[in-house]
Amino acid sequence: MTILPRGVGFATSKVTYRGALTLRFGHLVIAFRAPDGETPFSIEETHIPFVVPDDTPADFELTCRVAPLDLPTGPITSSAGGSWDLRRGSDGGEDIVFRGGRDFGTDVWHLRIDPSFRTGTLTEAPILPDRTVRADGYPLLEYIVTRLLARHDGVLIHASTAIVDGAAYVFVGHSGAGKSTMAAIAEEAGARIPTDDRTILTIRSGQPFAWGTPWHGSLIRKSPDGAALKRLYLLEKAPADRCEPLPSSRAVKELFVRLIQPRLHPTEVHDTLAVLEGIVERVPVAILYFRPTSAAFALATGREAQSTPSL
Amino acid sequence: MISGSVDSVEYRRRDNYVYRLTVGEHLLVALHARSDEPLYALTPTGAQLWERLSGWASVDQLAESLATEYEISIEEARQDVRDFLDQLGSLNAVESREPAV
Repeated sequence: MTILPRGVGFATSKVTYRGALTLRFGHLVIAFRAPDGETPFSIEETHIPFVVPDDTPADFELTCRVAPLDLPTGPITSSAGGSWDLRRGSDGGEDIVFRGGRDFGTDVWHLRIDPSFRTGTLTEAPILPDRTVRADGYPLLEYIVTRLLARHDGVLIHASTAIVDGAAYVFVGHSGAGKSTMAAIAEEAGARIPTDDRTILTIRSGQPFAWGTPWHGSLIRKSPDGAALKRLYLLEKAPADRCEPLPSSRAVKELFVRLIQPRLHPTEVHDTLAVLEGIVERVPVAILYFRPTSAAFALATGREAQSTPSL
Repeated sequence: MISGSVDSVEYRRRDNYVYRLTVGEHLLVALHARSDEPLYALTPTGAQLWERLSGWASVDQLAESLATEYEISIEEARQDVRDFLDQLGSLNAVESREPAV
């Protein structure tokens, strides 16, 4: 097994879809549509597993084109260090302009979200010669997914996930906490790893689930697989392995500060906290103090440790 | 810093925070912020004052409600209110105005 440094991975290539592209993240389905039926959508190959048939009912449909941007005006409601600006209209609709290039000096996308948050428009500036809509562009897609998850019973969290016997064990932590390390240990122990960096948590009909995402860590694991959520652990490197259960009230706060939710709308904040409340009421949450060995994963899952050496 | 000496000033919470009672914790979540502190925990007293601050209220008005609820002296309640408003002020979570004449 090889653990690659962040950003060093297998070379990826782009794949294009003509006129329509539909992606699913957890329960959430996002449809990208070109009104001319011709405009190509491009995604990195890492996102191919998240493509679903175009007749899949969508939670959000974006009408897309490549054209010079008709930039919105008016006061900025919120911004993210130059990478995007959000303007919220009196009708509740939102205009977000995403920037790229050196010092975020180039306007790349204009995303318009209608007040219903079920439809919108996306315009990509004709910057690239292939004139495709980069549906998985950063931070565009992650922004869309996090905003919509907050309104569709889900959250995106800094966590790796291991699926064992149909149950998901989620290992939560900021960069450097050991998410990919624990994922690698779990994989050697026979677990499936849908993500080693960012996990979608959902709760529907009272059932918490964990899902993979295309946004991977140094282990480069990314699949749309999901499973019923069994345990949540906050990772903490330590000289000895042990678990410290967390009370629900603290668990909600610890999980909340590790989300990738942008906290842009009161409704989304309430719904996000409601998701976390539902999860911590049903799923044990603990701090996992761990050394990078199979014994830590065995402790987390209650299984017998294998005799693999320390990494 | 919010002045503690002018009790006629009225205060009202801003809309850049979201309050929610979550599994027994009174949480105040910062909107639009990129700070390292996205949420704060309020005491039950703080939560009560936060609810009261949905409309304009003076220190005396806020203190009277606390004194009645918790059976403490009005002076003690005033100090608690001033301390709380100072903390909210440091978070830019409250605005103030001179009362209309």
